[in-house]
Amino acid sequence: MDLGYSQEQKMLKQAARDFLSKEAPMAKVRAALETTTGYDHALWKQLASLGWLGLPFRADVGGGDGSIVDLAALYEEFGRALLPSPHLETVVICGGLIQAFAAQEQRKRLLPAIAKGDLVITPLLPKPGLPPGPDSAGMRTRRTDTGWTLNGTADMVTFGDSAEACLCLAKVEGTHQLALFDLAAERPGMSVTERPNITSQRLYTVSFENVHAAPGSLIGQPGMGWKTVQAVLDRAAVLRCAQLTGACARALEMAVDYARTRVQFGQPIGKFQGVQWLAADAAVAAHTASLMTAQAAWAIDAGLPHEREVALAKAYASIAARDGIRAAHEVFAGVAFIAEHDMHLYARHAKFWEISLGEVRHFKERAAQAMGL
Amino acid sequence: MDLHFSQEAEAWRKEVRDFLDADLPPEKEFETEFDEDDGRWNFALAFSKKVGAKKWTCLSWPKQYGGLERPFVYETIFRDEFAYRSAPLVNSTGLGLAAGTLLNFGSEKQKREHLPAIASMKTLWAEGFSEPNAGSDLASLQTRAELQASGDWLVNGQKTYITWAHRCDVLYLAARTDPNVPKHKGISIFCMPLRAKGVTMQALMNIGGGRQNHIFIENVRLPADAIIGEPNQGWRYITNALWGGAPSGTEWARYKRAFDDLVTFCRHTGLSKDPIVRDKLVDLAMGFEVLKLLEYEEIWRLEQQLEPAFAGSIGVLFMKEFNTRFANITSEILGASGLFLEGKGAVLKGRLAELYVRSYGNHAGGTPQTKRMVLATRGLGLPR
Repeated sequence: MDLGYSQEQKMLKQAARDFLSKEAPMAKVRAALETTTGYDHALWKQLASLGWLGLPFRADVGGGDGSIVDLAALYEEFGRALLPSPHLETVVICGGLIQAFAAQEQRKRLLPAIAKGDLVITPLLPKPGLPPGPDSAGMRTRRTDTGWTLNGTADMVTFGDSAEACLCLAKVEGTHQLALFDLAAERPGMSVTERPNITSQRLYTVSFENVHAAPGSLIGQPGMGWKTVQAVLDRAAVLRCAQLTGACARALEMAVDYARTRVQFGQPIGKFQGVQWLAADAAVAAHTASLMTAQAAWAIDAGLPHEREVALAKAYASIAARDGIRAAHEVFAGVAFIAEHDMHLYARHAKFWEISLGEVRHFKERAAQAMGL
Repeated sequence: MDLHFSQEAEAWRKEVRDFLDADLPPEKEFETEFDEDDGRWNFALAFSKKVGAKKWTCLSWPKQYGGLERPFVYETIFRDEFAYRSAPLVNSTGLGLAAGTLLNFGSEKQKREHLPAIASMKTLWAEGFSEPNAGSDLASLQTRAELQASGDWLVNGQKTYITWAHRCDVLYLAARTDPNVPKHKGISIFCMPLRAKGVTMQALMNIGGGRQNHIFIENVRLPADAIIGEPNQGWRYITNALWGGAPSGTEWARYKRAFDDLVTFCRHTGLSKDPIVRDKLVDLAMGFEVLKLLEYEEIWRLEQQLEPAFAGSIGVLFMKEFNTRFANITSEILGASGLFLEGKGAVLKGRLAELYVRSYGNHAGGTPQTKRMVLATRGLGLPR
């Protein structure tokens, strides 16, 4: 029984905390969120030089052979710092799909480019509002004389304005097969519309109308199994949990610091039980979410069946972090309702991470099925 | 990160399960705290003595006091398996609070005298904390123990809500030995025979179907060696036992069992296809999953000699808050079937219906509100 990070993982986590507190202070985070790019490109290159953009890749493509628990240690820190970056999209999801499905030549070309920070690529994924499965892919494709034609819509696309390429998961028309395409971001027939929203993540709807894809842009072969796609998305979901956990833990720290120093009725408000209870709620939320995340990450790394663990973790961490951050917000009361205060950014990020990769009710239903209900 | 138990630990789990399969018929599964039937109590005592004879009641204790010196994880597994089966093991105060205090703070003579008797179920202990004017504010207790010229102690006062006292031999008594110092600093712990001259009891029937007791203590004389550990150190011993120190577990297996029973019912009735019921069942599963992990974390921290998370308050707090949620959601799912104790429409002989009423006993060992205060002040460092 060991619920702790290894020495190496602790060092990685500490390195990330030191780096982000120095290089990604909240002023820089806010500045990046203001831009349509959505992240800081210089910072992205720094992440590459630290080896974090290739962390999960195999060593033969310049990767770090990192496990999901390694990544979770890093992602807790990403969550604490609210780091705006396409890491999950580019490295974990696109990198994961490329690693799973691409031909050798494609892997050797694309993965090192990602690891070096030369390629930011965002996935066009199934809609989160549908039960996950091949039928939930919003894009469809058919073979033509010169390659492939793609039609359809992908919602909840992130970094739609700044990614150099997108990785499109499409259903082959008239079949149950899935095909994966690597497409440069600008091409005829493609439209990208920003969707104003309440989270701190810029979200886009990407529509394809008879978009042409050359044969070489097909990653691997059509007929990729949904299970493998799901496995990549499950890893990403666990890392969302780690972000939620880290953000909730940081929100708690901020609330505790404030409650110690803010004086009302002649005493620090942290002396009032009503405030203490809010802090206790946030602490329970952050801590228990981290345990559920750890279990899911470990189950994946250990090669065990993990459908239930991942589904429970994503549903739980989403709800717990939302509630914990809200409790922390309430400690600040009116102060945190002013936009210049950082607390609302935690709530907004948590909201996006909750919906990202599948809504709570779908993860709950997956958990129910995994428990044989 | 590794959430597996060792092979030895899993072999131990199987040994415990095999014992329960052989020695605990399903109709004898019950909670001794909420059952006053003498026949069932006699079974529980005989069953507990059988467990004691195997030394499973003192798995982690040092050998010189009769223990097996097994790692703490053996205790956790033992407790989980017993909880899952509602095995009626008696003497929880003796095995927990009393043994914990004796092992850590008792004299050599006391350890040798009391510990084997606790483990073998020869001596049963009750917990003597609460008083009419000392509940959550336990340190304000008023029962007095005065040192006599002879070296004896003279005890006067009243204890209340004492579970099992009428079935037990001795009381783990918290009494004031120095009224002239701050309230936390004048309390001592005694071992008081419950059949001593001057001790009388009055029954208090609780809503869960069990009996608690008023205990009136009038001029009870205790010998000098009835005091456990040092005089006036009682508060330290109590907080050590209640708020950390020994692995306390989170009773997750108890909830897992009730959940499994509930799922069986839902499958049988077709309720498990109802999307609202499925959603609620997953809420319950998330809760006991968290409790399981909090227990695993506790055992891991203990093995690594790390401080318990949040001053040891988080497991018990989550358990208490989940306890109410679990009862409410379970009862909602069962609907009308969740009301009946027996006969047509009763689910699992009323087991889950009883669980609902018993969930109102959430105060035992400290209310969730006091646990939150402990978490906020001792765990997060907020001012008192």
